[in-house]
Order: sequence, then C-alpha cells, then structure tokens
Amino acid sequence: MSKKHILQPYVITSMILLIAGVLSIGVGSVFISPRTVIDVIFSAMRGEVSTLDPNGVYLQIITDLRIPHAVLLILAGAALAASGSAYQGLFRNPLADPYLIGVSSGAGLGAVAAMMVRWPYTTMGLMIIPAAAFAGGILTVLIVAQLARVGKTVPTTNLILAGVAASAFASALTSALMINSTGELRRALVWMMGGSTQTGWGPVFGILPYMVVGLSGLVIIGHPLNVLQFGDEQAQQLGIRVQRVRWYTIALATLSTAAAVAYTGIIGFLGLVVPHIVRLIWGGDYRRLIPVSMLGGAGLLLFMDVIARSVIAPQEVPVGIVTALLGGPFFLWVLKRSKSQNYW
Amino acid sequence: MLEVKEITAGYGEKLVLKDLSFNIPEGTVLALIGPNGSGKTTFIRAASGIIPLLKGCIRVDGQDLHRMNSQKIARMIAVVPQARSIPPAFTVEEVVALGRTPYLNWLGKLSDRDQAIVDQVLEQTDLAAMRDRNVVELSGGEQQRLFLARALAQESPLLLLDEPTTHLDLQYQVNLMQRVYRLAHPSKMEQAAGMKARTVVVTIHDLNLLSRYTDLVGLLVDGRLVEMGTPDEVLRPDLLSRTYHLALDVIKDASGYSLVTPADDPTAL
Repeated sequence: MSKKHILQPYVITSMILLIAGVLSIGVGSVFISPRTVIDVIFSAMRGEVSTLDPNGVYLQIITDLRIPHAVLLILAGAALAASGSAYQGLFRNPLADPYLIGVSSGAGLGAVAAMMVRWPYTTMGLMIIPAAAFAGGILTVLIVAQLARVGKTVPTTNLILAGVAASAFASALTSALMINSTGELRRALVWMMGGSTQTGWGPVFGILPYMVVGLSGLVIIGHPLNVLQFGDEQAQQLGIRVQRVRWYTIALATLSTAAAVAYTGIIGFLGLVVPHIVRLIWGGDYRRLIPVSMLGGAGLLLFMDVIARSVIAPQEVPVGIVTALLGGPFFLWVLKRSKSQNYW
Repeated sequence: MLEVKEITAGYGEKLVLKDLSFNIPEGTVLALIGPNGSGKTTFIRAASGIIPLLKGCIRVDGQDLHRMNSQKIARMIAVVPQARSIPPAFTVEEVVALGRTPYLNWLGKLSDRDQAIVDQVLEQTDLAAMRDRNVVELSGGEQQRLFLARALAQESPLLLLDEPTTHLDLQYQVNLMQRVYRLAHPSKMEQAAGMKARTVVVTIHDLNLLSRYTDLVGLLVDGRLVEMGTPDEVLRPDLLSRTYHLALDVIKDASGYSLVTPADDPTAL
C-alpha cells in the first residue's frame, strides 16, 4: 500500500471530526458561529481577547460548557465505534455491536445502580460510576457468551438472541431502579437515552483513565484480531494464543463501552454503523479499522449531537434517539446485505 | 525428523486415532490416505496442537511438541488448511505476511527480514504479480496456493497439508503437488540459494497422484496405520480393494508410475 493510501483514512476522518467539533461547540441555547468559535479559541490560545467576543462571554460558554461536552462525546463516540469493531472481530460477525449484544444495557444497569448511591460530586466520586458500569458490562458479556456458547463456538444467532435477552433483562432492572428512585425521573430517562445530564469537566475527568486504558489497548489488539478472522484453529496454528486474545478483547472493549455509557447513556448502533462504513471504504485490516473507527465514531457522534440539539431547539432530543433513528434502518440494510453476499 | 510415537487422540469419548506410530526422515513427502473418517484430518489437528494427545508423543527434530506453546509450535509446524472460506478483508500480500505471526509481537509489525521472506515466498509461489489483489478475487487454485505461501512464510521445517487437492481441477492439483514435491526435494540451484528441504505430510484422496509426487504413503483405516511404505509398496490391489470395499486394479502408466483404477466393467452385465 502506498504511503498516501496509508494516511488517507486518518486524514479524512480527522477532518470530519474537526468540522463536527467546531459545529458542536457553536450549537446550543446560545448559537456561536463557526467563525467566532475559531476566532475565540485561537485568540485564547494566543492569550488575547477576541474582537468578536470583547466581554469574554462566549469564551466562558465555550471552555466551561461546550468543549467539555464535545470532549465527552468524542471519547464516547471513539469508544463505542472502536469496541464495536473489536466485538465484530472477536465474534467474527459484522452485526456485533455493544448495544446489540447487551453490553451497553448491562453497563447502564451498573451505572444506574451506582447513581442510586449518592457519591460525593468529586472526580473520585465521578470515577465510581464508570467502574460500576464496567462491572455490569463484563457480567453481561460473560452471561451472554455463556448462554450463546455451543461447545467451543459462539454461533451468531445465539449471540444476538442472548444479547437481546440480556439487554431486555438489564433494561427492565434499570427501569425498576429508576422508577423507585426518589430522584428526578426525567433526568435519568434522558441519561438512559443518551442525553448528557452532567455538565462541565467533571464527567470527562471521571472517565478519562478508563478511556486511556481501553482505547489504547484496543489500538494495539488489531494484529491478533486480524489473525483471528481465519478462525480459532488457524489462528492457533499461526501461533496466536486464542483464549488470551479473546479475554483481552472482551475486557478492553467492555471497559471502553462502560466508560462511554457512564455519562452519555445508552447510545446504540454507533458501533455498528461506523466500522461498516470504514470497512467498505478502506478494508477490514483491524490495525487500521479500530483507530480509524475511533476518529469516525467521534465525528459522527458529534454530528448526531448537533442534530439532536438543533431540530427542536431550544429543546434537546437525547442523542441516543437520533442514532437509533439513523442506525435502525442501517442495521436492516446491513442484515440484508450480509445475507445476499459474502460481505464482511 | 518427524517422530510419531503411539499417539491416541479424539474428541471426548470418541477415539479417532489409535496407537499411531511412524517416523519419517527430513526431505520426505508422506501422503496419508484412507477412507473418509479414517483419522487423516484428526492427525493434522493433533500434530498442530489443536487437540490434545491422550497418549503418546510427537517430536519434530527431537523436540516434544506438546511441551511447547502455540507460538513455538507454529515455528516448527505450518498447516495448509483447506481453502474453504477466506475472510475477504485482506490482500494477497497481507495474508502471506500473517505467516510471519509466530515471529512477531502483538503489534504485528514486519521487520525488513520478515518483509524479505514475504517477498521471496510470493515469488516462489508465483503470487507476486497479484500481491495487491483482494483475496476474494482469487480462483480456488490460487487461494490454495495462497495458503501454501502463508505456511511457507512460517519457515517451519515441517509442513502439514489438509486435503489440498480437494475442490481443485486437475491442472491445479498437479501444479500443487509439483510444488509440494519440490519443497521436499529442492533443485541444486534452490539449494545453492540456501533453500532447505522441508518435510511434508499431506492428506489426500486422489491415489493417482501418489506415485509421482510422494516418497512415502501411509494408509489409515479407522484411526490405525494399516500400512506404510513407498507408493509401490502400499498401492497393492488386494490391500486397496479391502480398504475401500471395492474391486480395484493397480496399473503402470507409460512412465512406470502406478495408477489405481476400478476393476469394474459396467457393460459386462
């Protein structure tokens, strides 16, 4: 592959992410034009006051609210898309997605259970919720894998069915917890549908350690996942320690998903849509697929969020509703496609 | 080179290989033949560490396989699987490069030496011209050659081929077996270029390719080695007829190679 070709996917997805970032920072109850956003940020970086924002009002909105919100979504989008590709590689199934195999709901249950306990609103307190989400996610994926397992293999249909069942079960428990809580039901509901209810930098710092471990781990797992595409037997004959790779993949993908779910709620289909588009355009080498999906997932989630916050402005639609409206039909299209041809 | 000592293996309660023993020297092509279900593929799976041995041991160059981890085994033994389904995400070169996996770390980054080996294998298997093609565009024969190339990139002294000629037309069958023979018997020029003779075990159904392209033939029946020797020693009408439950003749072709043919005249009735 030529050098230009190697960089192309990263350059294109980074540009999409950048544009989405500027738009996302601009959109909200106070609209800030992209030109102003760029000018304010660059002026602040030079230590000057932007002529477009003499009072520093925009600067404050941008740094205290909009940027942390965007960073949270960037991390969540990257995590969901990357763990989607990793689960697809692990289960050798293009329909695996953290949402479809129940991991998101399991992580959501863990997160809600933790939210019931009123942890202090400090970074340490905020870090408990992703940890609880991880526990819920891992538990779910283990139960799902166990339910779906036939002998040593995990057939696709079983996996998806077990995922749907586990997801329904975890969602029911989550709803029960929320209804019985004395807190504000609407807030929890908004959270569950992927609307962020926490603002500021707190949630970002709360999930950052998990994201660093999960995302960097997923980036380096690409090569063994490539070999795994030829089946467990051939992978072992090529010297891969198959069981170990499986465990690492499950742990890293679930950790990333849990960190995403903890403060952005349950956002479906991103892990399905993004890796698919990346695969169609640039092929399925996991060493490229996973990092490019991260960039693409971050960009796409920001765009979805811009739509969510502007369609019925000043009201906001939870972003999970927008991704589901887009992702549902996409899922059906992929299902049809994977039936009609040998497409991966 | 390859020592198989009283191995017994199977799946759960069901024993497929029973007390199998044989030795073959370096630079040999051994064909394992036998009816379906006689244990040919199970032998390949046991020898490559996929299923555990219940009894006995397998040694390659004096080293006991079942004391090694999968990475070490993959440096000693390369398996050419039946080309049934290839994940369509890769190019020819990328698949061959996966043969270097036992020498790489998790990142899978090829060194200059790894790349040189990949290039050399691509030349050797006549795949260099299609190195950037997606694997799904290859014909069945080319896919089988691709898997052979991936196995060669493993640089293992022992190669195991699982029914490589099944599903191939005659041209590709012969082409593949010629290559296999050359791997065990490299030309003077290839030897001068540093190519070592490999030892090959191939499972096969077509008995007519044996006497040309293999040095030894082992006949497996119901998990036991019934006969082992040169093709002419094993290809006996009485033995084969008994094994395959079918009247068979063995005739010599113009070059003196043995051919197996049904001793049946459908017009006789």
